[in-house]
Amino acid sequence: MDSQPTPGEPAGNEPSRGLLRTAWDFSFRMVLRYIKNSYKDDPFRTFLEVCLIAFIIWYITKQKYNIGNNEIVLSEKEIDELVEEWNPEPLVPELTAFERETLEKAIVIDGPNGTKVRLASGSNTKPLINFASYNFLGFLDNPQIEEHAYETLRKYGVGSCGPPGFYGTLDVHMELEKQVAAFVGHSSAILYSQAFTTTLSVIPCFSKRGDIIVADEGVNFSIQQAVMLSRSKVHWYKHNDMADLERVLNEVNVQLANRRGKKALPRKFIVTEGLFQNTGDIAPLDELVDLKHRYKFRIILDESYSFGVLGKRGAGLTDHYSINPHEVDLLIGALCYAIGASGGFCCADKELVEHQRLSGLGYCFSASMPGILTVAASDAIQILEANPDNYLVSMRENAVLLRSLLKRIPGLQVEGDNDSPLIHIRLTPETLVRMKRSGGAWTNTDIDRVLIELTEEVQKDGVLLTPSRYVDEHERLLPNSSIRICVSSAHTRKEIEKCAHAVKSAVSRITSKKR
Amino acid sequence: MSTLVQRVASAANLNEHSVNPNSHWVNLKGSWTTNIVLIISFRLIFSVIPWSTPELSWTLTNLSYCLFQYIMFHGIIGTPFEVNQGAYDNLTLWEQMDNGEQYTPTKKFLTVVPIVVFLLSTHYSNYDVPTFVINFTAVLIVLIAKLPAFHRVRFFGINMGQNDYN
Repeated sequence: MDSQPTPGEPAGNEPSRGLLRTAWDFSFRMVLRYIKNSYKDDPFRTFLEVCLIAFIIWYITKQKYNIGNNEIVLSEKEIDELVEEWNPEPLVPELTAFERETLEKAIVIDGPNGTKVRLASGSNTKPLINFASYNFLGFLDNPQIEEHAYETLRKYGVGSCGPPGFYGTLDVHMELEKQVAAFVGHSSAILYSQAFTTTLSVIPCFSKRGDIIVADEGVNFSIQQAVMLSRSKVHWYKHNDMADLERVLNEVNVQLANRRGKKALPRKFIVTEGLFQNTGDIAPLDELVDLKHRYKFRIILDESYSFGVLGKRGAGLTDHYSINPHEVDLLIGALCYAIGASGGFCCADKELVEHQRLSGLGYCFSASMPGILTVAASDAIQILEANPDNYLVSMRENAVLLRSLLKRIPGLQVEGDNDSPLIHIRLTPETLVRMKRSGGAWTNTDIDRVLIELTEEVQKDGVLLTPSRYVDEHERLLPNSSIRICVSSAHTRKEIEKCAHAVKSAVSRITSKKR
Repeated sequence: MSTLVQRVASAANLNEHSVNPNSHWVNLKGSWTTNIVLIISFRLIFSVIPWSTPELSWTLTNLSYCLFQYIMFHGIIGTPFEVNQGAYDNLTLWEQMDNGEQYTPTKKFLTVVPIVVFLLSTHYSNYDVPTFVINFTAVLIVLIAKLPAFHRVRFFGINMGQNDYN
């Protein structure tokens, strides 16, 4: 602890220099003393301690680096070569010949959408009967709803201008949520402003990385995307095949039971659609509920197309099978198809709904539904609730009638459940083979071309149909090309017969042509 | 039984622009200071135990600090926050820190502190051989867990998370 200058130091130095010297001297001696004290005739221990100190020095002097980052260092020449090779792609990719045709022939409607529409393009100025819109109950051009919508427009304006959590909630939103929950018969409901994003929000909100989803292969594009975005493990089962579903559920549970180590249980979901958009099939909910209980899964059911369509009251698949809606853990529906407004909803237990208010992406980060559409949806549900038979019975009669008429047409394959007002028609493989001149194979584009030609033929008879369209490269199982017919309760018996007749004559005209 | 060494899968993107709310506090100066304060208070608390020798209290200090570090940085996996559909679910706090970057100032600090505590304690308390072995093992465990070579590596299937479902 002495602060004497060392003997070798010249006298008369500056005080600060001396102090530095003293400090160095002091610490040096302290280290020496420390080493001397810690040696204690034990070379092995000293060796370990020296190793530790060496480790400290080695560790501290290391440069920081990123383990996940395998950076490739390129020479100047290589960079030049890469730049030379680079060929910029156009911002908008070049359309193929078929895509250009489709774009040119896209149907543009002049005036409001409804049961009867007028085309903007072409020479056809007669109104066409619309079988292309999902207007199952005719609410698209209901005068009563329209009138109330005008009044609402004066009160609430056009948009809500904010997400529901950020000044976007109106009184009508909360009322509609209650109304939907009461109509479906579930505990509570949450509104989303767009139908497509409802599924995209709800599924990733509950199913995270490491969780398990068992999904039907035939589900629509929105569910496929949602399942992918959730980052969960996805197992697919054959479309509407309950035996295959049971096999998958069993496999999943066996795998889970055989895990090693700590057994944290993942969440397990069965995901399917009520009324399948791509086929018009109806999911067997009774068996699904049975399997759910037996294998301890939760059900996420997308009722986008079945809400307002299936069941005695039109409340969807649970109504159709008279099953307590609480058996479906997350029930997703849409207000833009049968109801004719916009947006979607999710019915679930209160806790699950409140969870979505904080972490449902479509709810947190999208502006809420405009007041006018909310009121339109609310009115439509009210009308349907007051008088379900007026709409549902005629819609079903129309659907059954059209289906039976279409089935009589030779060379046509009619798909979907008998109760479904969503009908997909295809040309049978035999017909297609007969139509090909020199035994060549049909490509998908060829079939699409024929179907577009068919819809054009049908248009000449005053009926509007549309081929179903898919984002081909993103679909899991690309459905065969088809024409999608949506039957509405607003169609008269005569119009249905006219539609069937138009299809019949168009098919016979198309199939007689060799190509 | 489980194999000796396994590597956990994780989709945590090493994206420097995203802030992980579970781990960014470790870099604050306050949390560095807390480590020092914690060690001093451990030492003070264990020295007021009746009949305790300096050797015992230093041993307890060293062991409890190592235990603290093990639990905080290597024992608990995942995060209470939802990040990118559960990207950090299988990672310890040490692996989440600085988005997996190695030799960052905080990592250096937290590596050096247990060694210094160990060296100080052997020096001031003249451990006998069994005590030395116990303390040295404790330090060794927390040091090995911190080495870059053992990033996302698990021994004896400890802390594998949900990886082994497959």
